[in-house]
Amino acid sequence: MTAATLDRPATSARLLSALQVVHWRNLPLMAGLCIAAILMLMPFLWMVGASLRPAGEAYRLPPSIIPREWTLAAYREALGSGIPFVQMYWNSLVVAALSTLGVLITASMAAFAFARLEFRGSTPLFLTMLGGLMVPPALTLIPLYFGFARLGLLDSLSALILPAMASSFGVYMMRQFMLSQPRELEEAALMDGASYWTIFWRISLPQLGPALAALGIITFTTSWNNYISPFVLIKSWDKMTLPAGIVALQGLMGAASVSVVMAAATMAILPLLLVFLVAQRFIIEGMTMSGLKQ
Amino acid sequence: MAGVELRGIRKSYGHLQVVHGVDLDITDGEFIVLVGPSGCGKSTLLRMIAGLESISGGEIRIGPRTVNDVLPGDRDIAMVFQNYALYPQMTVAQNMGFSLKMRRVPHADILRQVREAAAILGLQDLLDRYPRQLSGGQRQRVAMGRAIVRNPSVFLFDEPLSNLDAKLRVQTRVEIKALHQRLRTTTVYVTHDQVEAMTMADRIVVMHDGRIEQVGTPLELYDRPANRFVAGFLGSPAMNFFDGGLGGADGSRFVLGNHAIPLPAGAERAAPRSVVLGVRPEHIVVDAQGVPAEVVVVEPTGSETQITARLGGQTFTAAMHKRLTAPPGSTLGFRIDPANIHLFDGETGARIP
Amino acid sequence: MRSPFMSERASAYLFLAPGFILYLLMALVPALATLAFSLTEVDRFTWGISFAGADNLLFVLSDRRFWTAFGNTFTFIAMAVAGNVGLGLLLAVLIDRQMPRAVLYFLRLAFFLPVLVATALVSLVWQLLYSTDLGILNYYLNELHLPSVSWLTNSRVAMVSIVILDVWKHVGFFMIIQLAALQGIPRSLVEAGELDGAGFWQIFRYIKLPYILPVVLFCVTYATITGLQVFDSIRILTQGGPGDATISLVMYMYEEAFGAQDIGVGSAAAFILLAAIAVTTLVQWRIGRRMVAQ
Repeated sequence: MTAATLDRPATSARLLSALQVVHWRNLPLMAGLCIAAILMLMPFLWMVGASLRPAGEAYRLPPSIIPREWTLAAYREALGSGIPFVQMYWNSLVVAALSTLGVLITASMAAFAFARLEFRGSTPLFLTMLGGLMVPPALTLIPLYFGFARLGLLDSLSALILPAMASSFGVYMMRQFMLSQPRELEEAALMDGASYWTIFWRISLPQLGPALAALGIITFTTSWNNYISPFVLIKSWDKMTLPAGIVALQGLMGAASVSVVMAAATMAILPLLLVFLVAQRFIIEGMTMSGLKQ
Repeated sequence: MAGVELRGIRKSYGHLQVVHGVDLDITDGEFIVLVGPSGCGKSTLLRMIAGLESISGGEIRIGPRTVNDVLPGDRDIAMVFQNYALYPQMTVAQNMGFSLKMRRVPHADILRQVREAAAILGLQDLLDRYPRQLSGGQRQRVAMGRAIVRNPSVFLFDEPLSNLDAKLRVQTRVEIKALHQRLRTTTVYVTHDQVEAMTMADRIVVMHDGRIEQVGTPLELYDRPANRFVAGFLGSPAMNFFDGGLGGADGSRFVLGNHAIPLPAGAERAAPRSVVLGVRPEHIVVDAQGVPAEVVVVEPTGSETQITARLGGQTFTAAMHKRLTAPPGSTLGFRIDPANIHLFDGETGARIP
Repeated sequence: MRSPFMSERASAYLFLAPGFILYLLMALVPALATLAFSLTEVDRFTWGISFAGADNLLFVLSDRRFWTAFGNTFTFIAMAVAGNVGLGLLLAVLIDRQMPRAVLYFLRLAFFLPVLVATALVSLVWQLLYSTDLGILNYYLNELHLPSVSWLTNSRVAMVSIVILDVWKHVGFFMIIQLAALQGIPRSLVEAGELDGAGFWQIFRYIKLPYILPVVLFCVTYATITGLQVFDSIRILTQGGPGDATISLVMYMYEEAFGAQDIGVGSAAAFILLAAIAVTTLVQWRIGRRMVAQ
């Protein structure tokens, strides 16, 4: 940064000194933070490195982040027919996509009722749903397990999707967002003769873009990363989703398959990483927004 | 086109009543301005006419039918909102045509009606723009275009000029008035700005604390305010009020300290315990023969000069078109034109004839 | 003629229905069922249900293993909350200054990436890093002439290892939230402090910290509630071992309900957990209200 400022003598003296004051003084701090950040990334680098090493080299010490010998063998094996990895990937995608779609639609509809419509029981019903914020999904697993067992839904993707679609957090978040928006647009549409259904889809929903994106990202990653639900509710490989499936794979294949497991984990993390690289600010803002509003 | 009748309209939120039985007849084609300080219930009343607020009591009729239970979209009314409420994801043309689309008007007719309305307001070149690409004044105009495109029987305006800068506000005021003269559609217009009320209205409705204080043409209200509230609300600078009593054998003089101001002859006045005398600043003239008062400040505005002075412990303002300088603390003589004084009951505030 | 406010009410119920029914079936009923189960003895094969009163609860409360899990969970929470919120605040304070955009992007990427990915998957990676003989951590310790540490097999170290993983995983979240709070402080407040002659530390202590205290409190609550549910990382890193040194409450619940197949006892444990979450929320609410009142 300082080099850049020195290269440009045309920069006004005030700006130059401002830059120097700010950045020179912060330089050691920034260096320290960057070293900490690299340390934070080490496990990921090691994971990718291990996935690219030949199986026999996985445990070589000293550990080299950059493998001496590159090979995609582990990826080939993970994607090959010997392991149900591709199926798990597909399952994860289906479960996360349907859960997200379900939450976005049902939560924004319910939020529309709570934020925009007058009806008897509005407050008690809302408080009832608010109570759900305190109930973490893991604690409802026992009754869900037996309920799904009775309905014959155990060991099916529905057992993962249906509970994920019930999001009192989503309803709460969308309602708060809607309340922060002016009502005038909906009132104008009402005067224009639109039905509530039309108002919701054509007027309210388009205004909810940022909130929908944030809620969508949160729901999708929560589902994509969920371990305990498939761990409890899914038994067969062809219904398994990624995190629980990869952990099970590791148990099954033993220590010899480190590079394959790391390749699988890398591929499981990849979509989140790519989206994050592109939309970092947006995701962080979405997540903090929802966190702070809780 | 239709008139609007309000019969005993009440509105309460829980135990809090904000509109107390309002009766009002708006004739077909009339431009009515509801004016009053914020919180007086004028916007609530407008929103009840629109159907955006439920009615706690009373009856609203638009034209021949009672609309208490009619959906806003079915009342044949259009509204211009304070913040315009343009749909951000639609173009100007789509915004204007939305209500027609909701009524399943054929596409070609929508197009024609939107073009006609756009032509009236000079919006032809903006039809394909989005609201975010428009200036504040243009948005305001589109909001009006959206209202007139339906050719409704009643227009409602909710403080439509409050987001414009001063110059644009004056200009748009004139345009709305001209539009009304052209379309002759019954209009109910809410504002807190008394200048808008005076300049635009056929009749003004002054509201205060959920009640109507007075209804009348702008000049009726200005010249014969029914009570002290209306007198003080309309006019700028505001009317001066002097506390005092009636004196003289026949109650023909207003006694203020050791001054007596003659009242216009004729009226037989039963003297209440206390009386408030009101006089507008432009009806106080500087006259060496008049009552001497101490000058507090002299403010030249260019077109007129405003003098604030003190008389018997009470401060008043006089406004005149001649230029004048007087140092603070000096004494000037003031004369009140007896033909232009207003008397109010000191307790009820009601006008004494 | 239909009343607009009637139809508004009817529409409201329709908008609410999908989300509310899902919530009812997938969250509220299961939560209540957990309570019901905890009062009963369920025979898994005949579905015969007999009322057991407080037996399950009493069993749990007299089970030493439960108290071990209870103690472990609270040890974990104490360390994880301090690490996550404290370190997060420290990082937020350090980052809250002018920096080149690229540096800021990199820092946010590195610290937030672990937040985004599945705990289960990174636990697999850390399991390898923690490996006593072949792990990287011990390799570098040895390089520094320090003895190897039995990260996951020493009962006194194992919980610390789990906390380290947890802080690595979540510190970015708490950093970002507290950073957002710091950046929300009106500049004029800080400038007024500077004009009054306050130094960096004094400004932080007397101006910034009081301002963001509600957010810090939220972070503590949030970290406590997620800490109460810790499962994935422990399940993968140590399976609760060595011995029961790292068994957590959710793990206890899981093992009772699905391992020992005692639904009543598992539900009673779940219910205790629910009560703990409710108490935590309530405490935060009370403290938060007092802080706002001040």
